[in-house]
Amino acid sequence: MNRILLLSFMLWGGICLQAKKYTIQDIPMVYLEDRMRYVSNPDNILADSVVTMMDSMLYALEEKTGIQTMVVVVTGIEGGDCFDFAHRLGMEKGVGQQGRDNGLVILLSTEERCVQFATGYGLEGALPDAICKRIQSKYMVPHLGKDDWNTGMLEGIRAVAGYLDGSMTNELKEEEEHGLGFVLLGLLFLSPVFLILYKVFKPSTLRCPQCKKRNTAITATKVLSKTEDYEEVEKQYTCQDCGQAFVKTEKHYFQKADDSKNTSAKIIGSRTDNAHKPRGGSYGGGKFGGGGAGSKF
Amino acid sequence: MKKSTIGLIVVIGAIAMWLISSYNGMVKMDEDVSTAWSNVENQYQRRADLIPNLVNTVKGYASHEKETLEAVVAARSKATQVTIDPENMTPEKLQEYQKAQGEIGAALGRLLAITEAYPDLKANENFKELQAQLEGTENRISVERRNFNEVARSYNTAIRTFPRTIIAGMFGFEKRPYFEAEEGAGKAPEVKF
Repeated sequence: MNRILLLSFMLWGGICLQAKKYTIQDIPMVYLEDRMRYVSNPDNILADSVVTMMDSMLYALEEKTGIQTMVVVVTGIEGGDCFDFAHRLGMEKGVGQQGRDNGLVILLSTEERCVQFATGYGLEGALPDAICKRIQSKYMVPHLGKDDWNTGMLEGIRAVAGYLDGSMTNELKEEEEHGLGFVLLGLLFLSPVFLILYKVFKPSTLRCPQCKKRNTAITATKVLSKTEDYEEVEKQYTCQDCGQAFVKTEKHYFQKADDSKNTSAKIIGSRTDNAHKPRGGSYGGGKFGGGGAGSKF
Repeated sequence: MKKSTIGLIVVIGAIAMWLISSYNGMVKMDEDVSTAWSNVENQYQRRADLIPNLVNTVKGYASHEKETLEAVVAARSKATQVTIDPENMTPEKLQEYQKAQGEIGAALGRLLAITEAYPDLKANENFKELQAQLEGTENRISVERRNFNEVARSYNTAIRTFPRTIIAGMFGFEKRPYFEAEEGAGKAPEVKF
């Protein structure tokens, strides 16, 4: 009885997995966890080596041009319409840089047998619909039609990255560099101002009782008495202008060492942990107008 | 000044400020709807602009499909005569516009269906490019229509909820129509041999 139950449960589970239709929320956002990963491959349709190659190509593309790409390879999609799903992915996740709208979503659904490129508003000029279609029919559909997902997707990404290489510059990155230059320049110009301010507001030294000038310096120090809380010190000042010497007594209070803080052993995260943790990326909020192309195979 | 006078002035001032900001808000939303409308028109125009090139390309390979080709051209010229002034959009006018564009869509669908029988045409680079552009434009049309409906809905909700509905009435802000789902259009007929 138990075995039958287990078998029927597995069968039901298997059927469910086969028929899984991903919703937008179901797609894992790998880029948000690791900014060097662009390919979402939850059903393991693509081989790991292919995913790695695609990730490195798309990372180089983003570094150079600022174009944010999202590649999703799944079995089934909610609604069954590749364009709708890809467009919604791009819009809802905001793929692409703010204002530049240079996002690209590449979707493959093995169940619907469709591949779709969705280009953001700002990418429609660099990657027009006709080129998307051409890339798909020339490099992708011949392989995808034979269920060769790895070759089809890899060739497609390679073609897209090659086409977009040099199409635009990574403006945000440039702005950062320019910004730094301006800051340095500003500091250079302001340094004389800082110097003057320092001279004017320097903590005033004692005034010489004879010539009234503030050009005195400490020439000798003598400890008169010492207790647990303070020590009494006699300081000898000599005026640098007129040579007049005079003494002044001061009380220095000791800072109580706060031992209570140091007793508990605090475990701060080890350095090695932070070194391996990948930096998460974020999508800029790019907008999509329905550009791109799709192909059925 | 008496305390009650000051209080009265403050209250009137507050109401006036609310009136002004509400009015301005509605004007802005009204403009957003007009902008969304022009975006929709642009995409429909983009589709219309692709048609002459498409017809010429197909003619080169399938010249005796005269009827289908002429139907597309006729639908296009008919649609150019249906224009809408964004300021005076009524549901009837919008329906008329939608119907005219729908006829272009249907005629295009029939044209693309018959091209399936001409492998030379299908292999033609120019034709392939036009097809891709047409598909892209259809996608863009649906995106802009969806966007227009959303913007129109925000606007309509704003002018119909109390208390802004009073200002809307005073200054003549009217409800904007929506794009309805096209009846019978859907996907192009699949031709299988």
